[in-house]
Amino acid sequence: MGSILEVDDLFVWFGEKEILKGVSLSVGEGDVACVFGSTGSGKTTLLKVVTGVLQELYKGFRVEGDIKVCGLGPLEALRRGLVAYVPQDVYSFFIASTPREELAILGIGKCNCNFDLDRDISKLSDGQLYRFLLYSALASGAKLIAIDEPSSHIDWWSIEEVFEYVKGFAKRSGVAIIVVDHRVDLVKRYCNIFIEIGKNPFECSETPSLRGIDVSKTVISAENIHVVLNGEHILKGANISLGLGEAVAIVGRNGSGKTTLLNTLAGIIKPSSGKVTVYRGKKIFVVPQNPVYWFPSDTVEGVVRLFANRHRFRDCVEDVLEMFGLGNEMHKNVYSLSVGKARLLSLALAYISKADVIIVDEPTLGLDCMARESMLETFNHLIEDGKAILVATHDLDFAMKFPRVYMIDGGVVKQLNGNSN
Amino acid sequence: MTSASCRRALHPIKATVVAIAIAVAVSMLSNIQFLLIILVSAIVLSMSVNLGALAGVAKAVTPLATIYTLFASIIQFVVLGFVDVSTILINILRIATVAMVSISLMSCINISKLLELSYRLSPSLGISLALSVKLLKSLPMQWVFIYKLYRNNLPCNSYLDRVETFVASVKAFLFIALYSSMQSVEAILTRSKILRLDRRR
Repeated sequence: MGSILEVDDLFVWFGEKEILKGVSLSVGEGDVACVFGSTGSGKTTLLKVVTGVLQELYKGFRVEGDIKVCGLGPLEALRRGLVAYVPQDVYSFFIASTPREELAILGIGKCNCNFDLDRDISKLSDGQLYRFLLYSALASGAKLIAIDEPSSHIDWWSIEEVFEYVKGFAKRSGVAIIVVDHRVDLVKRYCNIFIEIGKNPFECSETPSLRGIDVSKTVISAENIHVVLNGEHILKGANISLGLGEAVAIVGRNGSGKTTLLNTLAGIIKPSSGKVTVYRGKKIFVVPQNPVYWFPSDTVEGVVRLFANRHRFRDCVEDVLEMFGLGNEMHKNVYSLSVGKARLLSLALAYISKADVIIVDEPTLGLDCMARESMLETFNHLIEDGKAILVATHDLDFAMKFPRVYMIDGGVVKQLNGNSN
Repeated sequence: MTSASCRRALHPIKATVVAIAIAVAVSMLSNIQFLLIILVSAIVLSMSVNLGALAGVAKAVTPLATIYTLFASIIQFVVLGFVDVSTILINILRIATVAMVSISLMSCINISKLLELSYRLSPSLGISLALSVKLLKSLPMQWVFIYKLYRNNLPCNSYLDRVETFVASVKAFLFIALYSSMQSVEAILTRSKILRLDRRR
């Protein structure tokens, strides 16, 4: 089989910082190559370099080494439409207002999508958008398709089917696919080439489960809540409660209404009917899934100091950053952080806020197993301090680490047995 | 397809030209009576095409106008020794008109049609216009979410706290808008069909 991507001794620097060091790889027709590495190890940078996006768009990077896509330089391949890229942060990656309009712009006749193509793109869930981008990249006619973190977006029930489809597509169409993902155990079953960069992400122990302490007081309760947005009935009579010292996970397929439920409990969305009660004087902090970068300053230090001042946080903020693995990022631009590190920064801000309830939408987004482990340990400390943790996730394995789990399906919320049973 | 709240789909080029013409006119005019007439016309125009957008614009413009009035009054008083109410009013009318026209008209434009039509004039113009319209459509909603998120995540115990929260959310929104623009350019670069449209024609 002919080679589509050849990379030899690739080095990438941003200013003085070395991001990629001596990466070499070769991916041929029908191959699926998987790139593994810890959070912030430069996996996304590798994808952006081989697709030519980094060289075309971003200043301040220095790229050395030999890259050939179908025998051409990456920029020439990009201009000829030989590469397609599915990014980790999907929300801004559309030009049109609806999937049908987007397909018309791209000149693609049909899409293997399980949602209404005339729905407003801004109303689609992260996972639905990701699947749409993935299928449109496959149908684009590109010879090299770079896919960034599919398992962070596609739900537990569909991910294997999607990988099976991608693998079969590569074989049938003779395209080369390069996938970056943190779920090493899952993805490696579908790849025939493995590339490892940065620290070894395989060296992870079994991630800890979350403990629950005796619930002292109900801090949030929702009774029979219904949410109708733009004529669509998203939540149908949800009942849920959360006590101080408790960790609860909400799990469901892409587009099932997890984010809507979180935002309703946090008071960001008003329910159409039913009642959400938050115990008086209790603070809630929300870590959103979208936007990933929601910070009011361009440096990590600026962001952390602003939140520390507003929340009258008297401890050393450097220690907090160290605790979340961001000790070396203090003076960096927040937009130069990887998605995983930006999520860790959001969690650090939640810690600084000393909120009674911390709500996190898709906490595993962009995190390797070591970062997940450290996040769960931090959650355990917060629970011991009497805080409440509420997360929404599409990953059933991760949700089962929680003592109490709610499943949302077709707008209906029901309780599952968590790790406590 | 256009926005769900849109009463009628507009011709993309005509709507863009009308929006640009109104924006240019209000930025050049300094007469309160004329500006008021244009604002009333803009409200009627917005209501006729998209009633839903009107409420959204009102929600977005009200806090912005309040903060602007507050800061402009303080700065004028410190620098000039008095507050020039007519200048502040003129600028508020300009902000309201441009926001009203842009958001209402742009939400009723079919982007693929706009891209197709404007591509005939110039591919770069087509992509720039399509991206601008897309950002205009998505940013108001993004703004509302960001403001609510900051109001939730930062303590608001006093009026000063509320102003600080508003300023932080505006800063975050500006960063997000820039980031969204960069992402959109990445999207265009890696969507081969868009770049090759002109070659096909």
